[in-house]
Amino acid sequence: MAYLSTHNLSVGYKHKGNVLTVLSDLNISLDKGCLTSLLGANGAGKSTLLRTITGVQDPLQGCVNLGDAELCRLTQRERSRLIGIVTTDRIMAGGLTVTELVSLGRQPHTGFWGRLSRTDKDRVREAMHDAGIEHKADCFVSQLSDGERQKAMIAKSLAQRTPIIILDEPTAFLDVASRFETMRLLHDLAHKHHKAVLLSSHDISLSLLLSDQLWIIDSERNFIAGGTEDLILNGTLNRMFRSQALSFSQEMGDFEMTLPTSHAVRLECTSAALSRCIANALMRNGIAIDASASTLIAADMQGDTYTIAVGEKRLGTIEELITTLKSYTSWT
Amino acid sequence: MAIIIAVLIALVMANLLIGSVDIAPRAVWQIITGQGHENAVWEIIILNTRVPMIVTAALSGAALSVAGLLLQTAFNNPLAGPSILGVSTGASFGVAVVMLASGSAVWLTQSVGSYMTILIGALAGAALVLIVLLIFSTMVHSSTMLLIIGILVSYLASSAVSLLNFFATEEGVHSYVIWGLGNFSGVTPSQLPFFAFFIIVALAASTTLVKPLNALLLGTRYAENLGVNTKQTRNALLIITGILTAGVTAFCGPISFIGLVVPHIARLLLNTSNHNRLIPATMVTGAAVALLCTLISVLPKQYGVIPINAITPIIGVPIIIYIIVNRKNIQYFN
Repeated sequence: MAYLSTHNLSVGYKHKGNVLTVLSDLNISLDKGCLTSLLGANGAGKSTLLRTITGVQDPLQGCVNLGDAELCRLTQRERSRLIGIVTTDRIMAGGLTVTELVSLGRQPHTGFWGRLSRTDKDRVREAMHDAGIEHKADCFVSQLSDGERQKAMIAKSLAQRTPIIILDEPTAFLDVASRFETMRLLHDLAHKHHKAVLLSSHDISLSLLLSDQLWIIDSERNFIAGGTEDLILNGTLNRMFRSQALSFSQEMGDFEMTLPTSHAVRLECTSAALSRCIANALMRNGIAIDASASTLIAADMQGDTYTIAVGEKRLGTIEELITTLKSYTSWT
Repeated sequence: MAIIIAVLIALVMANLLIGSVDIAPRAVWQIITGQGHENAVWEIIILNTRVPMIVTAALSGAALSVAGLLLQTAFNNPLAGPSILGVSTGASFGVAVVMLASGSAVWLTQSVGSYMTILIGALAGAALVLIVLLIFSTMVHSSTMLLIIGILVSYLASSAVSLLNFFATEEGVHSYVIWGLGNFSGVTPSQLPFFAFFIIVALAASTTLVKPLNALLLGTRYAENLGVNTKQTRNALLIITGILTAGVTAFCGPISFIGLVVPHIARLLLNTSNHNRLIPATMVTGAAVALLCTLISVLPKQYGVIPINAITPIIGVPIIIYIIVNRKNIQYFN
């Protein structure tokens, strides 16, 4: 079920008669219980698209529909009950407690004075619980870490009880553990709370792991939407960044770095982990792996110990292997 | 909060007891409780001078402080205030036009009508600045830039005042300069109800903005997402600020620093940014600070009264510097 859909939507900017179209003819949707990641390089138009579908900016053409209603016909208050947002904007709420901050999410549902009913207070507690920030309820927002602050803002949008939650780079500025926790939380919001969640991100690996759907804007501003795994397999992710240094590995489901190589060796290895480590160390030093190369490296791993053989030499570490290979005068 | 109210009550009493004439505490009590006193001069001093001054100072302090709080939240800038945004200067410009254009006559007659003229001048001046700010706010979306425009407009208004002074009569300039020093004792008992009504209505109006003000702590984008009509809220904020500032400026002169400093004192005392509690606390703290300034101003007793604007920076500047130096440890900055 589509909570949000667009009809021939074009987004961009109008300035004194000049029209700059960023993306055009978008017919896309955000579905109930579905986590969608919006990926694209800086300047590709991610923010412009997010601003348009949250109603901050008008579309150049076409329209955005929330359920049966057109976004542009809804009042600010009606919108506030349908879409909750989390942005990277700097906030001045350091002097509020987490509970007070999350309570702001109830504003679309409270009266003129913003007084909270018992139900409102329950919803606030629930939201803090679901976002995993309940233990900081009485702390000031200024005392939170970046990850906790992000959770508090997500709790705010949960308290808002909107079917749709849209987040602009929710994992930017976070450390690795917080990035995983935040993404895990967003995944739960979609799958357990049946919300339609859209986030823009540069964190491609995490998005590929947890998103049900991807929206990709490539370097030529083509917009591609589809199921995550389908876009991996049909080569869309490969085309996403046209760069010499980066290529997408369908086997690993992630981007990998490619560096220029000047030499090649043949590798025979009994362990996949050891093989990957040796290959990476060789690649870093400009040595490719080629089945037809004359130099043979044989490696074997038993438990935590491994041995590597180059010609007559037996080596105990990959570091020694690199030193040995570099000393081959015939290569230089 | 209880402490601030206690301090406020203590300051009200101190202001009743201390002044250029020494009056026995017992006599003061008899006069204000309506029992009367044989010394008619004392009765006049208490009822016609000290009580109006206390009410004026308390209301003005509350008004300027709330104006400062509204501007700080609306512009997302802790250094905003009615004097910095040019609202006070705009009101001063309006007063200058009235006072200098008509010589000193308006000031000296002290009739309700003449004060009305000054008030209308101040309102018109403040409104002019606010309209300029509103026009620019449709073109400039950054609050910081709008704050800078406010500062620039304030310079323009100052230069217009200087030009007016240049062409005005000596008495006109003299009375304008005296007015510019700030004074809470200029409101006569006959004008007091009018002044009080004006300020109390605007203060009451400010409390209706609690909900959108709290949402604005998250910035305009979040506030709009929470259903706040930010444009309408900003207009309402500017109008209420304009009325509060113009009202006080017309009657008491351009009082500096109170609007900037008191919201910070209130936040530090209550340790919160929540406008639910912050608005009432700011009103009470503002009244207390203004009464403290008034008390200091009458300390020289028979040697005269110190201008209020000579005292406010002495209280205000150290607090602002303390806040700037300690901003890393102050909750509401982070």
